[in-house]
Amino acid sequence: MATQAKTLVDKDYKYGFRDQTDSYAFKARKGIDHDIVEQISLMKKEPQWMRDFRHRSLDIFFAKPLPPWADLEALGQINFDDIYYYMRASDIEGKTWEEVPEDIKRTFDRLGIPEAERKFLGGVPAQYDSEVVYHSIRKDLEAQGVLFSDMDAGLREHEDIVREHFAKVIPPADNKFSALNSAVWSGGSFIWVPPGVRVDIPLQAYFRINAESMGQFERTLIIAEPGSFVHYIEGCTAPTYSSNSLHSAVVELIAKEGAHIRYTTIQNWYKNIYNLVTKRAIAHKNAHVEWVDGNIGSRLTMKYPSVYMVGEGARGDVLSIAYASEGMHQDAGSKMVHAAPNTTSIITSKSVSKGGGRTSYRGLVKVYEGCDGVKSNVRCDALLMDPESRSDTYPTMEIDAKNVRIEHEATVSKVGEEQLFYVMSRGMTEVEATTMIVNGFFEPFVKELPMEYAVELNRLIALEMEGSVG
Amino acid sequence: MPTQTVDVASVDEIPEGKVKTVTADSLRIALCNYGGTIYAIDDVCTHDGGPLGQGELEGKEIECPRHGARFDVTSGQVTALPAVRPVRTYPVHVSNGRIFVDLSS
Amino acid sequence: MARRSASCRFHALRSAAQPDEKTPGWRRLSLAGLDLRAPTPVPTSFEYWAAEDDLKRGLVVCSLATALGTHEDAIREAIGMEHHGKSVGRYAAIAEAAWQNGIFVFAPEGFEASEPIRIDVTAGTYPRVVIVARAKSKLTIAETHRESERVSAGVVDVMCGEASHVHYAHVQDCAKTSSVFSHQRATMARDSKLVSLNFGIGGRLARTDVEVELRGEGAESDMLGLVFAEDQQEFDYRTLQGHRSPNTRSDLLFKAALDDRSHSSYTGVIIIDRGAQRSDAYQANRNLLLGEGARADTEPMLEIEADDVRCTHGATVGPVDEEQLFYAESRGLSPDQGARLIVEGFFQEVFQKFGRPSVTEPLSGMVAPHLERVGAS
Repeated sequence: MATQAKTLVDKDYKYGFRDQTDSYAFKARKGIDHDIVEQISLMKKEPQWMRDFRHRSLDIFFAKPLPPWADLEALGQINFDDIYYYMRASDIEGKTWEEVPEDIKRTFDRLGIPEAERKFLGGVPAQYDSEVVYHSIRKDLEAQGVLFSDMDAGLREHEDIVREHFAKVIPPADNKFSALNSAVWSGGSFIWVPPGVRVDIPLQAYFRINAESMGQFERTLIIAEPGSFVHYIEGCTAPTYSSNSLHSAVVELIAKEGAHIRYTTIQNWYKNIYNLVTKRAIAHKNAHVEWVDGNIGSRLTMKYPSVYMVGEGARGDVLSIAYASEGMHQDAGSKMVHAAPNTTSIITSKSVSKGGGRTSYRGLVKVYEGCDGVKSNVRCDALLMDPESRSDTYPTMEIDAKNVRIEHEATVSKVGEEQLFYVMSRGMTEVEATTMIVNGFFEPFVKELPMEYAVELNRLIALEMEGSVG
Repeated sequence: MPTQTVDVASVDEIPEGKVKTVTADSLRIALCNYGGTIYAIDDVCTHDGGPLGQGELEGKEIECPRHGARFDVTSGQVTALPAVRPVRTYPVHVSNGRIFVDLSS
Repeated sequence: MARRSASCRFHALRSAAQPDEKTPGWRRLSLAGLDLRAPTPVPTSFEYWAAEDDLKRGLVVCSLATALGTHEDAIREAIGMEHHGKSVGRYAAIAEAAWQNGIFVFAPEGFEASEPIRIDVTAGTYPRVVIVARAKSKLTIAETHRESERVSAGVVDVMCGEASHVHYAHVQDCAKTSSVFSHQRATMARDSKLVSLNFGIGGRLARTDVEVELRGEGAESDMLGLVFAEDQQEFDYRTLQGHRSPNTRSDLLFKAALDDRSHSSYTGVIIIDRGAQRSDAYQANRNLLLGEGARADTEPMLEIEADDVRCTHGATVGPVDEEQLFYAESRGLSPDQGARLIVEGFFQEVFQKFGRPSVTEPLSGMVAPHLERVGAS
C-alpha cells in the first residue's frame, strides 16, 4: 500500500520536448508515475499549463499521507500500485458480460433495467442510446448560450473559461485524493451558464457518456454566472460495476452573485469500489447552492459536499441519505463555511445501517469572526436495522461570531417496535412494513429526485429490506 | 501616525519568484519577489494558521503547501479556497539594497 | 515502592514539552501568556465538613493517607478502574503520580447521609479525591476549588455501588490567573444513580475531562455542566457517556454563558457498546454568547454499536434570544434587566436539575456579581 515518492524522471517531460503526434502509442498498465501522467496529457492534446498542473499534482499525491481520522482499516486496503489509472475504451476489449457479478445481474432483473443499460452499468463498453437524446438537448442549450460538454472538450474548446476557474475551489493540495484526481483526471462534465439564464431541464451526466477510463477520476466544473440557474444530475440508483476499484472524483461548483446551482448525485457502486470524492462549492453574494446526495453503494464512500459562503446572503443546503449493508461503510457529511454575514446553511442527513453496515456523519459548521446574522441548522438521523450495524456522528462547530443562530441535532435509533406493529396491523408483512418505514425515513430526499430515480430507489430499498428481515 | 519601519533583509537574499520568511517585532513575515518587486505578507495562512512562507510563488500568487489555498501577494486577496480571509500585507520600500517593511498598521 | 515508581513517572512526564496551539486538541485555545509546565508538587490544603451525626453512624470523611490504613481495598478498587481522559491527558497522569494530600469519602452499605458533605480546596497543585458509595447508600458531595496556583491538576474517582444514589458537585472558582486541569471519573454499578454538576467560573484556562462509565445494568447518570466565562477565560470540557451494559440511561446538559472575549470548547462523546441494548443517551450543549468576541466550539460525537437504543444529541450557539428580550421589555424591564433575567433563567434550569438547593444556592450567589455586567447588546 505504500506509495513511493517519485520525482520527475525526465526533465524533458516538463518542457514538452516529447513528440505530440497522433500515433503516440499508449499502453495501459497498472500503477501511477509521471510517465503515465505525461501520456494522458499528450493523448488529450492538452495545453502546457494543464500538463504542468498534472505533474505537480502527482508529486503532491505522493507526498501526502492518508487522512488519519478516516476509516484506515478500509482505506489501508487500497493497493495504489495495483490499479489502472487510465484506460481507453479500446483497452477494455475483451471485457465481457460474463465477468459481471451474478448478484448485480439479478438486481438488474428485479429492477427491470433495460437491456441496453445493463451492459453499460456492468462496465462493458457499448453504444449507449442516450447519445440521441443528448444531441437534441444540446441544440436548446446552444440557443441559450449554455456550454455543456465533457471536461476534456471543455478544456479544448473553452480554455480561457476553464483556466480562470479550474482548481480554485479544490486545489490539488487539499487532500490526497484531490491531488490524485488532479494528476489523472479524465472525463466529468463542464458546464457554463451565462448571466441571467435559467436552464429548465436538469442536465444529466449520462448525456455525455465517455467510455474512457470508465468514470474513475472524473473532474466536473460548473460555473453559474450571476443570476443564472442550473440543475445537474449524475449517477443512478441501479448497481454499477467497475473492475477498477478506486474512484476518486472532484466536483467544483462556482455560484456567482445571485446564481443558483443544484447538484444531485446518486451512487450505487458495487461493493468492491472505494469511492473517495471531493465536492465543494463557492457561493457569492445571494447565491444558493444545493447538494442532493444519495449514497447507497460501494465498499467505502468518503464524501463531504461543502459550501463556502463568501458573499453576504449566500445559502448552502445539503440533503443526503446513506445506506450501508454488510461490508459497507458510508462516511459522509458536509462542511459549511460562513465567511460572510447573513448567510444560511441547512444540512439534513439520514442514514440507515443494516447487516453490519456502518454509516458515519462527519461535519463542520464554521463561522468566521465578523459574520453576524448567520443561521445554521444541522439535522442528522440514523436508523439501525439490527444489532450488527453501527452508526457514528462527528459533527463540529466552530463559532466565532456572536449574533448568530446555530443549531445541531442528531438521533440514533432503530425501527421502533410500536411503529412496526402499527404498520403490520394494517395487513402488511414485516418486510413490507420495514420497507415502508425506511421509505418514509428517506422521504425528504426521495421527493427531491426526478420521478424515474425516485421510483427506482424505492424498488431498490424494497429489495434490500427483503434481505434484512427473518 | 508614526511608521514603524524595520529593516528585515537584503534584496539579494530573495531572487525573483522566491520567498523568504523573516521575523520582525515578533511578527512572522513572508517576503515575496514577484516580477522583481518585493511584497510583504503575514507568514500565516488564514485557513489553518500555519506558515505560508514554505509555499511556492506562482506568478503573483503564493500557494500554502498544506491545503493549496492561494493569495495574491500584491493585495493579500484570496485567489483559491480553502482560505476565505485575505492575508495581511505590509507596505515595503527598498533603499540601498535593503528591504524595509512598515509594520505600523 | 509504588511511590518511588510514581516519582520516576512524574519526572519523566513532567519533562515532556508543554502543549501549545499546535498540539492536537489545543488548536482553538488562546494560550497567550500561559506557562503550562507541570508544577512541583505543593501539598494540597483541604477543609472538609460532614454532619457530626453522619460521621457517628458510619460515614467516613478523612485524608487519603489515613484512609490507606483503614480502607485500602476500597481505594485500590476506585483508582484502579480504566479511564481515558483524552483532553487532560498527561496532566492527569502527572497528578496521579504526584499527589500528596487527598480526601477520602466512604459511605457504607445502606448508609443515607443527612446532609451534604463539603470539601473545600484552598491551595495545592495536585488535589486528589476518592469517593466510594457502597450498595444502597445515598450521599451528596460538594467539592469547591479556590486554589491560586499557576497550574493545578486534580483527579476525582467516584465508585457508585449497586443501587446507590450519589449527587456530586464540582465547583471551580480558582484564581483568574490559574490554569486548572481536572479529571473526574465515575464507575457505576447496577441500578446506581449519579447526578453530577460541573460548575466553572474561575481560572484563566480550565480543561476538564468528565467520564461516566455505566457498567452495571440499569445505571442512570445525569451529567450537568455550567460555565460562566468573561474576559479571556478559556473553558475546555470533554465528557464521556460510556454505556457498557443494557438498560442504562444517561442525560447530559452542558451550558455555557460567554461574555467579553471568552471561549468555550465542548466535546461530548456517547459510546454505546454492542451489548448495551435498550440504553438511552441524551446530550445537549447550549452556548449563550454575550460578548462580541465570545466564541464557542462544540463537537458532540456518537459511536453507537447497539441497535435497540435511543440516542439524541443537540447543540446550539447564539446570543440572548430576541423574542425573549422583547417579551421581557414588554413586561416593563429595561433591555439590560431583561438580558440578565434571561441569563439567570439559563442557569436556573441546570440548578433545578441538580436539586440540592443548599449546594446550588451558593452557586447562584457566585454568578450574581458577574451578571451585573451583562447587558442587552
